[in-house]
Amino acid sequence: MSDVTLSIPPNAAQVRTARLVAGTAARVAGVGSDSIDELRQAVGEACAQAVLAHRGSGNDDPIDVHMTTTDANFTVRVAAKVDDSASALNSDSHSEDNDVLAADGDSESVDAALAVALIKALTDEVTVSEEDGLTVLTMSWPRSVVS
Amino acid sequence: MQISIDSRQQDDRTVVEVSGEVDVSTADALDAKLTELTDAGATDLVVDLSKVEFLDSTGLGVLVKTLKHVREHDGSLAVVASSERIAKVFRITGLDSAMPLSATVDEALS
Repeated sequence: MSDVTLSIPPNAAQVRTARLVAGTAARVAGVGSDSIDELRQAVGEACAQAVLAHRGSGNDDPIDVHMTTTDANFTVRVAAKVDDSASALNSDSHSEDNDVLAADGDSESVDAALAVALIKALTDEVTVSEEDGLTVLTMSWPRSVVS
Repeated sequence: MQISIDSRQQDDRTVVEVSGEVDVSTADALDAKLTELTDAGATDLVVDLSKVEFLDSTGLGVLVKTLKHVREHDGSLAVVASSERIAKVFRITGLDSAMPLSATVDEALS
């Protein structure tokens, strides 16, 4: 099985690069065409939150996006240094309460709540873990064409 | 990818036509334009996203901020989302209940 690894600088314009690469890699891996737009959206949300987290803390380190194809799934892992508990990449933010209109939070916490809602809805399976000081968001989609 | 934003008066509403991809790299431009319009007194808005190819949470966040602002002035914000891809992000986040979605500008204005 083949892996694809992408490293993007914490630059908002490069989030589009990650979306396009993930969409193409997923198509090559045999993810169903109906799921490609959803995958691109979810990867874009995760990478955007990672870029915002790095930018907000003055961290110039790149954001790693690792794509893995297994027999059953196509998995995307986005790893970033996240200090903000409200970030969509933090497991604490994955609550069921996403009423952003009632919330009195700042714009970044509103964006994070919306990103969490989208990632959870558009991903077949999503987990958040801590590895080597980095927060890792792992998202999976089933492959419809198994090689 | 660039974003293009134009506005015009139609009936008693301000129609804001957006083209391109609205994401973390372009949402600030949309925020600036909507803030400029609302600061100038335009509080009944129709945001036309029918030429938008991609919309992420930062773009939605700009619309949420604008909606809160216009509501403080008894205004309104409607969205034109002709593609299923764009309409879907509103439905998933529940924002379609706060911002009425229409398929065309004429439908939004009616």
